[in-house]
Amino acid sequence: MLLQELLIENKGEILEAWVDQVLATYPEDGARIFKKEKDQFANPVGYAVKNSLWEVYTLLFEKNETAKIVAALEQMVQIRAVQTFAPSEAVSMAYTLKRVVKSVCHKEKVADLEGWQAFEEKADILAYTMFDLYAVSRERLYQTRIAEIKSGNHITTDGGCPSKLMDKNIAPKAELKTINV
Amino acid sequence: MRILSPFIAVLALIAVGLVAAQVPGGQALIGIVLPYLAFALFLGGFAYRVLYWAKSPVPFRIPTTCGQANSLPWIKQNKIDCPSSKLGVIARMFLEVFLFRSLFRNTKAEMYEGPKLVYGSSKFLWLFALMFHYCFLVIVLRHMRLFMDPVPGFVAALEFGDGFLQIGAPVLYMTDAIFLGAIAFLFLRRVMLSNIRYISLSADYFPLFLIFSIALTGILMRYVFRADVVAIKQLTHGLATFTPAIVAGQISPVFFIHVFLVCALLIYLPFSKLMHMAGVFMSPTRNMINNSRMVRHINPWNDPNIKPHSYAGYEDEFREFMKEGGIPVEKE
Amino acid sequence: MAIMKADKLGVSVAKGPSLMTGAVPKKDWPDVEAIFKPGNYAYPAKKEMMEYHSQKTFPNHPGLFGEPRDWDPEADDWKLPENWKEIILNGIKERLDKFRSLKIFMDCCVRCGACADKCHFFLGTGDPKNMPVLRAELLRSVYRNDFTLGGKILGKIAGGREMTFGVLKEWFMYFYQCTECRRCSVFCPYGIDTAEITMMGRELLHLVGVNINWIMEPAANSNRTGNHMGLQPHTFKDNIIYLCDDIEEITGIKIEPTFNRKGAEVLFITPSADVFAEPGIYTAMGYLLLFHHIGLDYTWSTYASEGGNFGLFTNNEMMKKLNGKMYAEAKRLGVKWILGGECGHMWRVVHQYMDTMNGPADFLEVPTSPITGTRFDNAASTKMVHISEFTADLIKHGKLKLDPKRNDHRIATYHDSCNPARAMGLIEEPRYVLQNVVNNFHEMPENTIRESTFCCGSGTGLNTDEIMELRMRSGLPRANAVKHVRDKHAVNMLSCVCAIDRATLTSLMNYWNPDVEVCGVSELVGNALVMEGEKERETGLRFEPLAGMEG
Repeated sequence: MLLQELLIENKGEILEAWVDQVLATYPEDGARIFKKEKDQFANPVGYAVKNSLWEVYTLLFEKNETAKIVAALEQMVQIRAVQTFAPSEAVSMAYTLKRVVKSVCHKEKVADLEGWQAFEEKADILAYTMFDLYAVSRERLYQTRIAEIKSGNHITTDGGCPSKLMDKNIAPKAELKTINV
Repeated sequence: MRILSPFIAVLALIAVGLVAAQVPGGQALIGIVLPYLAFALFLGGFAYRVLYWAKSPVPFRIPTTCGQANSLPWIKQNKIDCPSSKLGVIARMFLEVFLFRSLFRNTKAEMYEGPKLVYGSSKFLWLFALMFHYCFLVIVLRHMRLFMDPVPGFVAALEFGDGFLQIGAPVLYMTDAIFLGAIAFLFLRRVMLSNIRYISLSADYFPLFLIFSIALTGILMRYVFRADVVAIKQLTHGLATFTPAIVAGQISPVFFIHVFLVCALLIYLPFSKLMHMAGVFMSPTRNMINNSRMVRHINPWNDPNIKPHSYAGYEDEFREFMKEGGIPVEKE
Repeated sequence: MAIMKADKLGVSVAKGPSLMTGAVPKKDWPDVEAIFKPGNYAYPAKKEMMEYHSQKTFPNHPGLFGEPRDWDPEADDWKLPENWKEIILNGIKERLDKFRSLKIFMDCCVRCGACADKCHFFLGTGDPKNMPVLRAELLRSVYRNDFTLGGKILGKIAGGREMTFGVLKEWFMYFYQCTECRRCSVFCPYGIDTAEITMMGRELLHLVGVNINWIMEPAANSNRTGNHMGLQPHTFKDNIIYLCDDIEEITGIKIEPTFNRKGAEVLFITPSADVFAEPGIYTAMGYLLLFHHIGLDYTWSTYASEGGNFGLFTNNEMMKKLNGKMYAEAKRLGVKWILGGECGHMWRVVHQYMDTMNGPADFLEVPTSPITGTRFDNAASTKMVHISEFTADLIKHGKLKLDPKRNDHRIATYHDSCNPARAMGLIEEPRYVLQNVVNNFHEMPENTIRESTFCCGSGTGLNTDEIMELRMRSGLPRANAVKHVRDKHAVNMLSCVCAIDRATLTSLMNYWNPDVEVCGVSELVGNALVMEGEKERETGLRFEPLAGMEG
């Protein structure tokens, strides 16, 4: 069997594992109800991730429309960019996918070097698209912070008039703590 | 654990009822002494709880406004969801208490492909909660037959309506079936929905198990074990007229379990979340008129000693700046 | 084996169970610890700030704010007073006796879960403790343990929890991840209002000196200078004059507002952000144009130069103290009534608290519009009118000369600010105004507006930049709704009647929907006003070119 066939035939299984691994950050965690639940009011954020991955998978391996993955990924990456992830983890989906597909290959005993090269190429596109989007999102986040300071709202925290009267020695925590990613 | 321990507690209650019904004097204890005791504790506890609430003032007028307020005469006010009169509040409370208006509003957040967050209407909780509460009410009212002689007309009418389908003999009461179904729904909802299970406490499962057991023993008595209604009525009517007596050996043990559980519920109720039946009437976000700009609301503990930083103090600090800036001052 | 490395990637960072990543915590919620790390908490108040409040703001109320000190939420020692547990429990007791709402809300919840997915913080973060029911349970569990019979006897089985440092940490985490927007209270069958719970929680935290700077500093500023921004009288005036200069440049009209003028008919109070911060200043220009247009006899005040009230986010005492300036100044200046600008929580205080706390305002008259003669009977006692009510009345009576075409470069939608919508019922007035000043208007989806409106995610003093990521998460539901109308109707202007919104929605849009701007309704009014003697208009109040009038 060729890898491309495997990717389509085992789509359900691969996606399930992929979503599962992306969502579950805690290896010790047993509960996997999001796999089972169809309607996801419990966790729209997790669900957004799931939907994005499904769409991206379809675009990459079924429809072959690589250019469209930006739109499919945009909001998911935007969400992950403001969550408590390390950057590497926020955009690690492509590597997770490689791992999943590799294990399915093993199981199905597929040895299709050419196919794997094609697959890897697409997975790489996914990886650096996400990296780009992540960087854009983070930059936008800090631009937002800067814009907020420029807008004049900062005067409430930096004006500090009453405290200045109380104590000249201002070395508040607020100034010391810088962004810590 | 949160499900198991209340389950065991209810089983224990059933066992106690069952055993007590067999030992000498036990029937009198469960059939006569306990009901009086439970009812007294229920009334006492209920009154205590309501008075405990009422003892605290409502310092501020804080209705949650769920519609357009009374404003300019040509702007259409939502007189029920944002009442500006007593009548409006009465209507709002009526809808809340009898039709669960707020639950009817319930929506469900869902994420669709895109991903798109969509808020759909979700009426299941409202529907089953409504069924549960109304069936409970009808069943309680139907039981009035056992405490009153002659049986009041409305009770007979209720029974007729309830058995309208004429299925089986004795006639199946629709409320019995719906009641069990609704409890099952409320229970399954708690167990199946991950976030509801996450927030549920033992105190949420216990009443469900207890009420389910009460309903089940009642149904068993009516449809399976066929309890001796005449003997039961003799007892219950005796209780209501303060001349209780037990006709020995005629009443099935299931009845005593049933009574025992009902007593447990009566005693438990004032100390539990089931007090929401009274609390809903006293909720300040619902039972207040939204007229706080029209009529001054009084806060009994308003502290007159809290005064703003005075203008004089302000001017003293900034007088020079004010004069320079051409802002009028009191003292030159 | 490279695959194994990928497996380990970053796992160390996202520690601690959370729904945020999609995994469901295995532990019960009482066992999940609150962990503070940079970005998930707002900075504590500076020591000097709390010294100011203890010594100057409330010299006669010892203990209201605990002991002023520097402390670090990430540390294991918060330098709490030794008897902090006792202080908290006594504080609960006191508040139970003072607020019926607290007792009812503690006792009545059946945990039906109707509120769970109504909270923007929950929807955006997925953290289960942001479900309103669990937020309340944080306090309720302690209440049950120490103040109910069941809890005293059965303890844990009855859902009771002892007051521990861990619980206190949770309180600080989650009572500062609630914006008191009251959306959950709309859907609760018993009207349980998490805003009340959060207020109580924050009051209790203050008793042991646990607080955030972004609330305490504006409160200090407001006490001393009259406004959150800390603008001193001359600066306050200068800023408005500067806005008048801009107006002159744009319209050719010279406006000369007055300050602290005795004998004016109306005292105008608006959030100070409108005077200083973008995009609020454009809203302020709208007010200035409007009042000039109708020739209103009004004055600004530098002493009562703040509409907002961060005391609402602190405690009852602070709220009353800061609010007191409004009536005090109205009395000193001898005005007939007060007109209030666009602000959300300001109007919660004015509408539901002011008269009770600082009334009766018997030195004022029932507000009557000098232009239309309309008597605002809905404000008969408090004697303060909302600018949207006032403007709607003017438009209805045909007193404004409007050219909505000037807003044709705007495709607007309207964000109902939480407090005007859910604590006041101000819903149709701003919409009526908008109908008359913009030609292109589209509503957001039904379940995200009016009484079901989603909060901006940064209210109640949470609009500080050190928690920007958190704010972006909590604002996601609102941003999503805006995205919907942006995609569908090309909406490019999000209008609102709240100063905090104007600041925070701007940031929210910058991140989620960068091509959508934010404005106050009065800005659109000002832009549409045809002023007598004006020059030909080429730009709007932001100096942006007008559609079809470029030259």
